Amino acid sequence: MTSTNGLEITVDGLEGGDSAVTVMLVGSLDTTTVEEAQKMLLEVLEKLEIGDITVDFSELTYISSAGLRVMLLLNKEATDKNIKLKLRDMRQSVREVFDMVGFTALFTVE
Amino acid sequence: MNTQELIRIEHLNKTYENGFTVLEDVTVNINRGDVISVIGASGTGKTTFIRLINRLDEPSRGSVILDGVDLSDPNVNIDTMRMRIGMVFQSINLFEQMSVTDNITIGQTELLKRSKEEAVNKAKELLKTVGLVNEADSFPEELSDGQRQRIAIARALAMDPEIMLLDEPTSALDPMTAGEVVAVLRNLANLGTTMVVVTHNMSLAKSISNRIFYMDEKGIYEDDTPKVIFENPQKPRTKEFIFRVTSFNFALDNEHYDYIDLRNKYLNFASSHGIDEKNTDFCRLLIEELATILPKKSGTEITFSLAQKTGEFELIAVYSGVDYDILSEDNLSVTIIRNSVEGYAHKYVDGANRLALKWGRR
Ligand SMILES: Nc1ncnc2c1ncn2[C@@H]1O[C@H](COP(=O)(O)OP(=O)(O)O)[C@@H](O)[C@H]1O
Ligand SMILES: [Mg+2]
Repeated sequence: MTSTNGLEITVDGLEGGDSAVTVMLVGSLDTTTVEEAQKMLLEVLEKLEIGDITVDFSELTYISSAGLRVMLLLNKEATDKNIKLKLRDMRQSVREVFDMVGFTALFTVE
Repeated sequence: MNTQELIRIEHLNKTYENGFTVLEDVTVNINRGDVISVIGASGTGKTTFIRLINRLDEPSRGSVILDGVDLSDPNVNIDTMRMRIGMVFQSINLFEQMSVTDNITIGQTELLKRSKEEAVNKAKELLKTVGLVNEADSFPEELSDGQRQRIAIARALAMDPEIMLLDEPTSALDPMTAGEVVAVLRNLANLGTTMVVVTHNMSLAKSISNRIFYMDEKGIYEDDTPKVIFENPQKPRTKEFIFRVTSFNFALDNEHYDYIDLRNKYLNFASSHGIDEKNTDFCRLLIEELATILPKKSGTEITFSLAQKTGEFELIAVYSGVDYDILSEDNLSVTIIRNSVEGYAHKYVDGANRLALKWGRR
């Protein structure tokens, strides 16, 4: 069981040497969990030479500006490496936060 | 509604042996079908009050009259009278060496002289009421605290009491299991059970009761409907208490303040005030963003409150220093706050900045 206040991150596709990696965020991306999230996400990016990263948001129940900053950093690093970052299946409440700060336009949101 | 009087309490006084007077001249009546929540700060005599009703404690003066019978009359068989009153405590006491069913049947067979079969049937019916049919053969130690408290409620109900007295039945439980017990209490209230519940859970008090007793100044300081007590309390101390329990305060007075502590305390507050998930998360976002940008130093604090009448939320931040509105900055937190609230005001008074944010329920 996942506590809604914590964050669990699972990565799919990296081991098989795929060029399409899916990162699933489960829980809550807030002040207390961003540090760990940032570390994990940048690690994934580092291991990837070419291709796409899709972040599956379907089980992310909460995001604050701290979480947005991590996504912004990930987006910048990915662009620098010519890797495409996609954000998928955001819940309404999380989507609203992205919309509020105008981030929906900065990212590829599916 | 049936307003037939069940209990009449007259000029009740309680002074403990050490000379401390807890209750002074309390006169009140309880009608059949009443669901009364007893609220108030700790130490105001709530427990004493309900222990006096079923005479677990002797009053120093005054009387409790149950259905016309004065419980202090020496000719009255107090044990027989007590069977008519069901009692549930914060500390859950079950017979650990007996199955759940035996816990619920023993009083019926021993005290009410019901047949085993009749008692077991009653137990089955009550297990349904408290949602624990599948635990009939379990032993108490196999159950969670919330389940144990529901069994304690079923056991009290098995005696067909005319009134149930519950002293903080959910206080020892975590928010999740407390919710199960709250659901049972709601169910009982709907079934017309006469109840007196001492509770700190204001959303429970507000939603199940037809009367609230606010305890203060050695007695029932204000006795009125939940609407009046929560939305428009008439007396000053009630007003103060209601504001205090419907608001949440946290100091951000140094750089190493504990955000997890802030978040958890806020989440507890939100759940005990019945704020739904969507609003809980939305308010949490505003609290987190405000905490992010506030200067963390001596004097900084936030107060989050619920206007009971309008259902609006308010978040107030106070911080010292020069006259400076932190929402004039340009960053993600400010953008989120400005786009979320419906009203905002900054004031500088006596060397302190006061920022007030308001928004409605979503
Ligand atoms: N047996 C006792 N002897 C002396 N003082 C007591 C005793 N029981 C309770 N008190 C005091 O009476 C006051 C009210 O207690 P209580 O009825 O437990 O209040 P509440 O349930 O509202 O917290 C408290 O100040 C408490 O310390
Ligand atoms: Mg008490």
